[in-house]
Amino acid sequence: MRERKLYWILGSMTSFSGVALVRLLAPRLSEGSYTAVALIGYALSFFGIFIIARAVRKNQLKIQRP
Amino acid sequence: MPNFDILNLFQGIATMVYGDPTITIARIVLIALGIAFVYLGAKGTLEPLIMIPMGVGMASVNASVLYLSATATGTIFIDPMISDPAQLMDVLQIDFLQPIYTLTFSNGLIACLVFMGIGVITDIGYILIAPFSSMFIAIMAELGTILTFPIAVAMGLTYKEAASVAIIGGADGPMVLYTSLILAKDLFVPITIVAYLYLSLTYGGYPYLIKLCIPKRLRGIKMDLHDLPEITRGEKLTFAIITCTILCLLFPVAGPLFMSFFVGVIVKESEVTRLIEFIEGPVLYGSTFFLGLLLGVLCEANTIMNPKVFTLLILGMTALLISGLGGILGGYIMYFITRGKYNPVIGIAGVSCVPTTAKVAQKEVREVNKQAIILPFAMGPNISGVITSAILAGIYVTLLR
Repeated sequence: MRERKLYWILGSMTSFSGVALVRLLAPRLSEGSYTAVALIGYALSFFGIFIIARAVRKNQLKIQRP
Repeated sequence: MPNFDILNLFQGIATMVYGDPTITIARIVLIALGIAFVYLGAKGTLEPLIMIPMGVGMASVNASVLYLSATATGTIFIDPMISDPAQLMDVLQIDFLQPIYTLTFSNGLIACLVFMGIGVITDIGYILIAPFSSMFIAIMAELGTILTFPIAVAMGLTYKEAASVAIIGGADGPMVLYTSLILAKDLFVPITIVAYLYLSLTYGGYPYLIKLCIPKRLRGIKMDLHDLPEITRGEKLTFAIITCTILCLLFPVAGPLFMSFFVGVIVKESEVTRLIEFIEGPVLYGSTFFLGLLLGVLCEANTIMNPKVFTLLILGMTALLISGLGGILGGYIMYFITRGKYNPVIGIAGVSCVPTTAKVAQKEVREVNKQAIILPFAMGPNISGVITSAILAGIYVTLLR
């Protein structure tokens, strides 16, 4: 249970960091850096969602096969 | 006896006789097409929920053109091109479908209502069963949405029009409606009609694509169902609300779509029976009915006769074909990654026509191997496809608006 929570928190934090890069940091940068930072931000956000989804599956498989 | 003109008695015929011959021919063709849609919908060849009201609307609106003044013809159904607020107030009191169009169609509300319905009949747990393959295949199945954009630009469409027609590749009717309303309002009628027309044909066309691209031996691969985890309600709820929030933060312009979809998912997982019954019954079927009816009514010859329609017909088909191929390619990649344990037919389910393409995949597999059940694995990419289509719509709208 603790491990699952860790994944949830880690996934959410990663996603929200991505959002912060896209919405807060990137608009303040020059055009060249904007694209790069925004792309990294988008990738990070989706990766966070993936961590959350992946954690559920890992956890469930552990429950089924102790 | 006064001079009696039969054409004055039947104004629908009079307007045809005295009108522009091209429009007259288009009206006759559209009436015939409307009748054909009703027949094919009732027979089950095309999607009846959309095609029956659409066919009735199409046939009646083209038969109901009358003289509005000594020189102008039109109908008292709807005026989609009106923009002046004072004129709109007048029309709202005359055209009987105008209130539904103005208050639910032109602001995208109807697309959101359909999305809520889709959300409430969707089990997000299917994504969590196999998150990597679901998301990967859904992204691959957006190939049509991505590649059709440059093709459309090369064929002479503007960036906004190209993006609107490219979204057809996501095979999501409400999404096409939403995007074209924002990006290409002048073309949204033909684009949406082309989209819905082709979407109802995916059920008939994709099985041939599967048979053409995947040999029988691979179509019969059995998926391992023993490994399927059980996802709890709490996990689905948490995943839904976090994903919804993140996607809204990233793509605020597609926020209404994300909210509508995930509110449906969350209501379902919350097990609030009365809300579930309300959304999956009156909201979903009510909005689908009016969507079909209004799309039909919008097919009035004067509205739909646009020189770009032929281009849109080609591009719509291209988008869905490339997306289907992209999905199958994703299925093949998964097949190689898992060393032959993954049935590549699942790839077609990445095209997010929920749940049609997942059912098509299962049907094709069953034809070859009666023991093979792939539906739980096909639903994951199918639902992920809805989310990736909304993401791509968000990207296009954000970049081009």
